[in-house]
Amino acid sequence: MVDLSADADHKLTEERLALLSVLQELTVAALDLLNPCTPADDFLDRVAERLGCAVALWLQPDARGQVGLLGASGLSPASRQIPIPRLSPHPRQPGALWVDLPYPELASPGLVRWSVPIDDAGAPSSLLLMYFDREPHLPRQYRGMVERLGGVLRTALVHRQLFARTLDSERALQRERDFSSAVLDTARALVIVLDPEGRIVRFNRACQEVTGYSFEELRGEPFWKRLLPPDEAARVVTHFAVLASGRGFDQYESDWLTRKGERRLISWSSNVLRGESGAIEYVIATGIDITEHRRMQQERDQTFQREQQARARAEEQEGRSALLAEASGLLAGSLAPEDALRSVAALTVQRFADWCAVDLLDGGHSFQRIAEARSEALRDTVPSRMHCSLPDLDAAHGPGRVLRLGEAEFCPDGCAAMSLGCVRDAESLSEVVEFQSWISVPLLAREHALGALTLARMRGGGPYGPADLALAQELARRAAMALDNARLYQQAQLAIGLRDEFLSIASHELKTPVTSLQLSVQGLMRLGRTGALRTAPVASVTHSLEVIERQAKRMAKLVNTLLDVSRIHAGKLELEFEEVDLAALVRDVAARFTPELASTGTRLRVHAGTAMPGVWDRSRLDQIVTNLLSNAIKYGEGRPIEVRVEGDAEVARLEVRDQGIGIPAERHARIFRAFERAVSSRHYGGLGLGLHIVNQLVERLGGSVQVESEAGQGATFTVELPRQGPRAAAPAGLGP
Amino acid sequence: MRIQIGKSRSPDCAAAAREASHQALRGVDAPTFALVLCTDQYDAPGLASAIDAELGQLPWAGCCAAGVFVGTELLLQGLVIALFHGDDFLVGVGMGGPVSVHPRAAGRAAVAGAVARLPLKPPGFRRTLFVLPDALSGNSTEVVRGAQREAGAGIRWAGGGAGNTVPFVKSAQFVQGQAYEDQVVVIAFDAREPMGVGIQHGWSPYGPPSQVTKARGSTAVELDYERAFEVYRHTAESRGDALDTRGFPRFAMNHPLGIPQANGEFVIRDPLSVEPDGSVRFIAEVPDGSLVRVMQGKRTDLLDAAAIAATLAREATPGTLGGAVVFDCVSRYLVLGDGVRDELAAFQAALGEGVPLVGCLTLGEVGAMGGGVPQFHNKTAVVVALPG
Repeated sequence: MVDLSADADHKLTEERLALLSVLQELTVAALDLLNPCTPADDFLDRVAERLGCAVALWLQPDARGQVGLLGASGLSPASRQIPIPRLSPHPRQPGALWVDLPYPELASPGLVRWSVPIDDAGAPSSLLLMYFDREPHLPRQYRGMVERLGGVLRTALVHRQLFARTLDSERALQRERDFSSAVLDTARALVIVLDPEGRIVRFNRACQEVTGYSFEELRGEPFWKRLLPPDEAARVVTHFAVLASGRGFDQYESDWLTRKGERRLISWSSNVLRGESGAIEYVIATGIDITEHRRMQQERDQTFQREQQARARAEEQEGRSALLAEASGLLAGSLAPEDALRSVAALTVQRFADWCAVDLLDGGHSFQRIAEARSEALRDTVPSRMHCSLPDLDAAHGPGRVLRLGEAEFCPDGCAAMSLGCVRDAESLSEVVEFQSWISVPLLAREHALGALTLARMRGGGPYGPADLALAQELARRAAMALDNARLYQQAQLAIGLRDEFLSIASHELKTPVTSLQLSVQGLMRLGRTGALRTAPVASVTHSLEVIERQAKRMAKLVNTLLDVSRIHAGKLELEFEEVDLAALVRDVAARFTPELASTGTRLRVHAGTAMPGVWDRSRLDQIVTNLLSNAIKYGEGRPIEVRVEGDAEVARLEVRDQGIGIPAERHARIFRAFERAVSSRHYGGLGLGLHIVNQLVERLGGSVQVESEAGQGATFTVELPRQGPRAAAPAGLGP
Repeated sequence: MRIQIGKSRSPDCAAAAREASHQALRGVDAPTFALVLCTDQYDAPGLASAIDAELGQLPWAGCCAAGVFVGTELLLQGLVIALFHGDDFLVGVGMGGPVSVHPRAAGRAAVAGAVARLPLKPPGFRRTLFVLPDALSGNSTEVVRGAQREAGAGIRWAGGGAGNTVPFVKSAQFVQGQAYEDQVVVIAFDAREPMGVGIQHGWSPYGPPSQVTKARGSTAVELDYERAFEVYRHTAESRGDALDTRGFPRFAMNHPLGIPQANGEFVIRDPLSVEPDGSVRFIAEVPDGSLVRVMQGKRTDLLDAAAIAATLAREATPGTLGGAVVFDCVSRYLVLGDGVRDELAAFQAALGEGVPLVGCLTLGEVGAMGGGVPQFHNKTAVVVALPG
C-alpha cells in the first residue's frame, strides 16, 4: 500500500530543498554582482539555468526614462544592439510605466513573463524580467523566492553602483594621481611631499634625477636622513619644524647631498596642506636646483669684481702715474728743490694723502721740515688748530727713524699715528690726530739719505697698499734725485765760481813774475841793443839776473804747485817712503825761511829738539811743513810763530801756531778744499792751494790735519802722522 | 526531413567510410547533410579524408564517441553516417576553439560560424543546434554558455561531448572533411517543423543536501566545509559501504551529484576522480554555493528515463518522425553494461519502431532540461526527434 502522506512529505521536502538550493546558489552568484566589473550576464545565465527560463533580463531605467540593459541571458549579440525605447505610460495600468522591448527572442508565442521590481534608492526601479517558454511548473514558493532574490539584487545593485562609483572615484582619483604624477614628473622643478614628521610621501622624477635615489628607496624616510649634508641638517630641521607648525619659512635655500656625495644647492618654496580639521597633513616643497646658476652667478660676480678691481687698479695706477708725472714736472722744472718739494707735497695731499711732510737732512744730524701739507678733508675733519711736531731722530717709528736709518716705514692699517707727531687742540688736552695708514720713505740719492717724505691717510680714504708704498718710494726717489741734482748743480756752480776765481788768481800770480821777468829781460835786451850791456855796471846786470832767477823760481814753484794738485786729483802722486826725522826736517825748513822771517820781522820758535823719525816721503813731508810755515808767515801779521814737533811711539805730531788774522769757524771746512781760501786774494796773494795740498799729502801719509782758530785769534794747525807709514799697508802712490 | 543511416564495423578507415556511406546514400537522391559518428579506434584524419572522398561535396560534420549505435545495435568499434535529406530544413556548420583556452568564446564562435552558413531563416522555421564540444579538453559548461549567449533564446538544444571511453583521453571533431581536437562543432538546423528534444537521466537524490562551500571550475573542493571526498565517504557509510579513494570511481559511477533545478529536476555532475587534497573532480562545473545532492539510479529508473526522454522528444515533434538522434552518456552504458541495449530498445520503442535512430555514447550531454536555456549534463540521455 502506498503511503501517500509520506510521498507528499518527501515531495515537499525535495521541493524545499530545491528551492533552498536555487536561492542559495543564486544568492552566492549574486555576490559577484557586487563587483561592477563582473557582467550581470553571468548571473542571469545562472538564473535562467536554475529557473528554466528562456530569457532573463535586468533593465535599469534612469531618471529621464531611458532604459538600459544591465544584463541579459538568452539575447543574441544582434538583439543586444537594438536600442530600447523610453519608458511610457502603461496602456492598462494608470500611473505605471511600461516599455515595449524590441527583442526578437521575445516574439515567440506562448512566452510567460515574470517581472520582479528591484527597488533601490532611486526611482524608477530596475526590473528583473524572466521569460518562460510556457507556464513554468514551479512550486508557488518560487514567486516569493524570486521576489526575495529581487531584494538580494537590490542590495547587490546598491553595492554594485556604490562600488562602481567607488571604482569610478578611485579611477578618477588614480587618473588625477597619474595626471598629478605625470605633471610632477614632467615638471623640471623638484617636488617633494612630506608628512608633518618630515617623512617622504612623494618624490617626483626631477628629485630622483637630481639625487640619484629612486622614490622607493626614500619612501617613508625622514628627508634629512638621506638628503641633507650633516652640516645642514640641524638648520633645515629647525626650518622644517617651523614650517610644519604652520609658521613662516616658505622660501629658503639648502643643500642636498646626492647618492654620489655631490652637494646641490636647491632653492625651495614650501607650503602646507591642511586636512578638514585644519591640522597640517602634508608639507609640499617645490625646489629648483640653482647650483649651476649660483656658480655662474658667483663666477660673474667674481669676474665683475675682478674687472672692477682691475679698473680701479688701472685708475689708481693712472692716478699714480699722473701724480708722478706731475710731481716729476714740478721737480724737474725748478732749480729750487725746496720749493719744488713744497709743491709736490701740496700736490700729494690733493691726490694721494691727507697729510704730507718733507724733512731734509742738512748734512749733519740735523734736519729741517721744509714742507707740510694737509688735505681739505683733513682740514674739515680737524677744523681746530692742529700742529705736527718735528720728527724725533731717536724715535722707534715714524719719519725720525726713516731719517736716522734711511729705511722706509710702512703702516698699512691701524698703526699708531702718534709716530707722526700730529696733535690737535681739544677741550682740555691735545689729542693725537688719528690716521688710518701712513708711509714714510727716505729721499735716497746715491745711497745717501737726503731726507724723508711722509704721507698719511685718514680713515675713509682707504688704507695704503703695497702699490701705494711703491708710488711713495718712486715719488721719493724722484724728489731725492731732483734734490740731489739741484744740490750738485749748486755745487757745480760754486765750483765753477771757485775755478774762475782760481784761474784769475793763478793768472795774476803767474803774470806778476812774468811781468817782473819781462821787465828785467827787456832791460837787459835794451842794454844789449844799445851796446850798453858791455858797459853796464855789473851790479845792475847781476841784480836783473837775480830778479829773473827769482821770478823764474817763483813761476816754477807756482807751476809745481799746480802740477801737484793735478797729480793729486789725477791720483798720480807718487810717494817714496824712507826713514825721515821730522824734527830735523822741521829745523831745516825753518832755516830756509830765515830770509822771509827776517823780511817780515817775524820771530819763529822751533821746538824740535827731539828726533822724531818715521817712515815718510821726505820731499812731501818737507812740502807739508813748508806750506804750513809759509801760511803762518803769510797770515801771521809778523807776530811770533811757534813750530813744535812731538809724538809718541806711534804718532808724530807737528804743530804750527801763529797769532795772525785767524779763520772764522764756519770756514774751517772750506780751507782744505781746492781753490778755497779763508781770505780775499786781493789782500793775500797765492793760489790758495797750500792747505789743500797739505791736507791731501797728510791723507796720503795716513795722517790727519786739524785747525783750531778763531777770527783774529791766530790759527793752530796740527798734523798727526803715523810713524810707520800709512795703515793697511796701502801701496804708496795709489790714489785716494 | 528524413535520415538514412549507414554503418560499418570495419576497423579500416576507407572500408568503413565506403561501407557506411554507401549504405547511407543508397536510394537518397538529394542529401543535404551527413552526421558522422565514430568510435575512437580510427585514425581520425585518415577517416575524415576517407569519408570526405566518399561523400564528395556533401556537407558533413560529427565527432568521435565512446560508442555509436544504430537502432538498438551498439557498435563499440565502428562508424555510422546519418544522411539528412528533404526540402524542409536548412543546415549550417561552425567550429570554434580551442576550448581548453577560451571555452565560452569557442562556443560563441562555433554558433556564429554555423548560423553564418545558414541562409536567411525562412518564416516559421525553428532552429535547433547540435553542440559537440571536445569534452576532454575544456570546460564544456562554459562552451554551452558561450553558445547560448551567441544564439539567444527560442532555440532547441542538443548535443554531447566528444571523446572516447575509459580512460577518456582521445577526442576528435569533424568539420568539412577535416579532423580536429580541442574544438567545438555546432550544427545548426533551421527546419519547417520543430525538432523535439527530450532529456532525462533517471537519477534521484538520497540523503541530506550538501552545500558546495568551495569550488574551482569542475572541481568541488569542499562540501559542507569538509573535503568533498569526506562527504562522499559519509554518504557511503550511511549506506553501510566503506569507501576509500581506490574504490571511489566505482562508487562514484553510481552516485553522481545532482544540482537541483527550480522545476524539481537535477542537473547531474559525474565524478571523475579524487584529487590528492581530497577534492573531487567532475566532468563539468559544480556551482559554488549550491545545495547538491548525492544521487542514485536504479536500472529501471535509468531505462524509464530513456523511454521518457524519447517520449518527450516524440511528443514535441509534430507529425511522423523522419528519424531520431540520441546523445546518451557513456557512463549510463558503464552503469547498465549490456543492459544498455535495453535502453536503446526503450529509445526505439518510445520513438516508434521503424524510425531511423542513430546516436553515440557521449562524455556529457547538451540540452535544456524542462525548457529554457541549455546546460551541460552528465549521465543523461538526450533524444532529438526529427520531424518527418
